[in-house]
Amino acid sequence: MKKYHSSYAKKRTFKSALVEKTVKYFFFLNGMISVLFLLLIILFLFKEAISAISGIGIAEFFKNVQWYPTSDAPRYSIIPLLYGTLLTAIPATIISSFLGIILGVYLSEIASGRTREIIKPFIEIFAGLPTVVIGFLILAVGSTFFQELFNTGTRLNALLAAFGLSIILIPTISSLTEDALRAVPDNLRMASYSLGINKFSTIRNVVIPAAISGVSAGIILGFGRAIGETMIVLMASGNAAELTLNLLHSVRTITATIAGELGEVAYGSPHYYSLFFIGTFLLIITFVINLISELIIARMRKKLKKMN
Amino acid sequence: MVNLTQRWAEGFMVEHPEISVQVTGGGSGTGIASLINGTSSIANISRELKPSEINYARQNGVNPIQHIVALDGIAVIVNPNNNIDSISIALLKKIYSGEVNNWKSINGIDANIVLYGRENSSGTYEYFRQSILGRDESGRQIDFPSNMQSLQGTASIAEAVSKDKYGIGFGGVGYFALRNDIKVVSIKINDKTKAISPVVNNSIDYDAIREGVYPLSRYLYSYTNGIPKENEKLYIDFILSAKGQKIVESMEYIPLIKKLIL
Repeated sequence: MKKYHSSYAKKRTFKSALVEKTVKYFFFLNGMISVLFLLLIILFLFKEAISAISGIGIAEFFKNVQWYPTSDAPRYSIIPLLYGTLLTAIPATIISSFLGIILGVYLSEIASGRTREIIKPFIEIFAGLPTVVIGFLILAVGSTFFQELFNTGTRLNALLAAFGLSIILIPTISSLTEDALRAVPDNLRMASYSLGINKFSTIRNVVIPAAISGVSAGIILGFGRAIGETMIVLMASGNAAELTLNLLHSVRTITATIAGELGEVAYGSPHYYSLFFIGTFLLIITFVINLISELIIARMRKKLKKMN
Repeated sequence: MVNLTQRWAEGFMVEHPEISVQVTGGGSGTGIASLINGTSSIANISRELKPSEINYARQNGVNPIQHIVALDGIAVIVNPNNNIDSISIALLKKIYSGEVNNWKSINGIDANIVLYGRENSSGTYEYFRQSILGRDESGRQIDFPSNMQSLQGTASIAEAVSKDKYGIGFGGVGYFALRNDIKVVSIKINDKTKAISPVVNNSIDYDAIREGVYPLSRYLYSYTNGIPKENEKLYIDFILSAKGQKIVESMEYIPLIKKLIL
């Protein structure tokens, strides 16, 4: 009987070890596939971008300041597109930082547990709204509303796109703000209260300064999302590649240019490759932005650990 | 053009149930790319292939053959509140090259003209640039001004102009004919000729466009790899038959033949 038992156990451990190994390698493989795909995508983008550089010349992308890729005298400057991208992303980040931080502070420090449980799911739904739906709403309803409000000459403009973008940025910034504030150890708040400092002053002078790097990481991450967002700017910005700093003019962003032109571009032409170049340029910008915010978050975690 | 192609495919499969036709959209570039890499047998495109595309196809062993399959009238639209009814081609050129940027000299209202157009790789953009803006003294194509807004489709242009008091736009006449919230403008070839509208009483004036009395129209094309064989030939023949051209008319493009006897 005993013998049978031990051999059974042995069999079982062998079998379960096999299963465990298989499962482990299966998951490892899945992880590696995503890494591989990412590398292949980057490789492909860089390959096409290099074709653009060798065919058109990198200087062409930064001089002339005009985007006329299909003209008789083609001009491939990324500068007006970069202006357009920043002219929508910066105002959007400012608007949504203001509202997102207030919302984050409220959720973390002020709201009661019940209120938070009601508000949070709504913010999460907001974050999950398909951007094409937001773009469509802005185009169909928002544009007329804002034109009547601000009496703008052009109906579709950078400011309108920025309003649309802030709808998706507010949830990002508010939830990262909330996370950063919650990571602040309670003993800091208690120390402040014990000195007789009221709640508002504690939030302003103790909690927010302690979490400032987390909050700024949220803002930077939001900015990165604004730069990479496509549908809203495609539908709301008017897509005129004008070199302007006027928020009430139509602008053309890098993302909208790629989305709008890639479908009908002459295959294999310099224009086709130039779209890959500006895409790679965008990839590098957003990569750097995400990297910066990750670094800031990592540094803050370390600092707060020390305080604890 | 993808909707028209879809209807052609449906009509064709009724006549030839043994042959199945699959339609994919995505734009002219997508069409030609799929013809070159062999994933499609026929590419329907709203512009002629560019020399660079023909070269690229030949390098890859594909010999694109062009078939004219339908006509499309291009109309100019303004907001219904705009009091202009007709416009000369010369003035249209001044407006769309940015030389005239205020309505004042046209209808007396002091407001900036808001230009609406299509993406720079679309067939409509290319057509309008060639036929209205033309070339400068050095023989170069004149470009649209950089403040022209590029929208994603002719329907979006109609929508934008319907809401923009000072807007002007252009596109395939089929998208505009039935709408009352925009005004299709009559075109004068020069100041001496009569202004011609492509739309009469909310319906397209097919004859005026086909016979060139209305000056702005373009062909739509199908491209095959080499001379069409078997099924491809049957399909092209169907498109060009009275039935195929009837579908063209029902989709508000202009049939190539005048009398459609079914």
